[in-house]
Formats: sequence, structure tokens, C-alpha cells
Amino acid sequence: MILAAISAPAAAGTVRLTQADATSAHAPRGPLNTLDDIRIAIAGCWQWPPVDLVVDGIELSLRISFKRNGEILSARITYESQLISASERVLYHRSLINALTLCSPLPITDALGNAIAGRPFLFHFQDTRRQRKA
Amino acid sequence: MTMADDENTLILETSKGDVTIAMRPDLAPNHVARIKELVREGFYDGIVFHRVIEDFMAQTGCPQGTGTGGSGQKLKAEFSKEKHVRGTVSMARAASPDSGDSQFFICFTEAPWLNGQYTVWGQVTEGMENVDQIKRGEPVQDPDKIIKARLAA
Repeated sequence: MILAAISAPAAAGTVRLTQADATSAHAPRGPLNTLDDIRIAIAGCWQWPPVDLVVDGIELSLRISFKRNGEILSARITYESQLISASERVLYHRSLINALTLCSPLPITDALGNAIAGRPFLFHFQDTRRQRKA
Repeated sequence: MTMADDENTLILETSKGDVTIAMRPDLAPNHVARIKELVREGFYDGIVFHRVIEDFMAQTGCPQGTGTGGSGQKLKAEFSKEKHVRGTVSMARAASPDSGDSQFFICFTEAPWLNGQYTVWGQVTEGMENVDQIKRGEPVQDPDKIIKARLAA
């Protein structure tokens, strides 16, 4: 199971990524004109490490902002689980770098670029694939 | 209660009171055998109900209290036609059908979407009113717990 959320507190509240959104990695296809388009694009860029290589899922928050042209202006991990191994952390960080590389620049419209430029987005990723549930 | 019943009777002494479970080796012999092993080891003693959802179920059996832990021994699924109804005890699992380990759940009410998808291995016979009192949450703040799990025989 995968749960990931993205919020844009300075821009437009909170939107959520679904599990179906985040199953395979591919470059975003534009033009993106809404926050929901960004949500889908970001989800599409993300690929979790193989489940067999991780024992405990990570919980990770990323603060990120974009330029008007969709390039990443800044990105910073603001929180991540402590109870994972160093090797697992490397795998998740590699996934993160791959996703950010794949996503930049976001193919956004000029209007959306003007709306989001410089504003912080908070992405929250939680890998729950190993959780056992009813 | 007969000796044969006692061999397959599990008693959970919880922070909300005792819960008696009739285990069903006829449905899931390997699951019941493993649960017995874990009970005898004291594995479940002190473990919390970490995921408790109103009108659905109460889940426990994770030594880490997060839903990701287990005993380290996965169990091959033993799905059956037994239905998930109020008091049914069934095995939690990840995406793989064969990922059951130590975590299980007790249904508050019928849950037909679980039928044939999760291994049923027991039924609450006494103390369901105590199960109903288990604190809700996902995750649960200040959760209830199994104080001690023991076999009747």
C-alpha cells in the first residue's frame, strides 16, 4: 500500500495523491494548469524502492517550491522517519532525487506558473506497503 | 467446556476485560498452530490494539505497535469460505496473501468484503462486550492492550 499526500498551504489547501497515481515513474505531460495537475504529475514521477529491499517504510516530508517556468527553485526534506536503516534511507533518497529530476521542469501553463512561483508546497510521503491490515 | 475445546481456546486478558476466542484449526490449522506457539512464548503479552476502526474491526499483534511488525515468520494463506461476521478473528496481512505473521483483528460487525481474502482462524465466544470497548483510532492514542494471552489448556 502506498499513501502519499501533497499540500500547498500557501497556495490552495491540501490535495492528496492516490495509490493509483503513484505506481509508475514517468515524466509529466503538460500543459499543467491546476494544482490537481501538479499532484498527478508529481505522483507520476515517484517510484518507490522495491518492496523487497525495505523492511520498514519511510515517512518523509519535502518542502519544495517552483519557478514560474516550472523548474524547481528549492527542495528540502523537513521530516523523515528515524527508524529505518542507513541503506534503506539511501534507497528512498535515490527515489526522491530521481523523482525530482524527472519532474523538473514541470510543464505548467504561464497562469499556473505565476500563481505558484516561489510558494512552498509540502509533500508528505508514507510508504505503507509492508503494513499488515484487515 | 471439554478438554478438546480447551486446547483450542485462547483467552486474551485485555485492558478492557477478558476475551475468549474459540480457535478454528479446522479452517486454518497452520495459523492456529502458530498462534499457539506465539501465545506460549508470551509474544502477545503487552501488545497494543494499534488500529481500531468503528463499525469495522480492532487490530493487534504488532510488537512495534505500528502495523509493520511481526514475529518474523510469514504464514501461507489458509483462506476459507468462513464469513467475517461480528466476533470473527482473522489474520491481518500486507498485499501478498502469504504475508500473515502475528497480527490479527477482531471484527466488530460483518465485513463481507474480507471473505475469502483473509485467513479466518477464530471466533470470539465470550467478552465481545469488552472488544466493543477497545479504544478507537488509526493510530490509537493511548491504546488498549493485551495484558496477557493464554491458552485454556
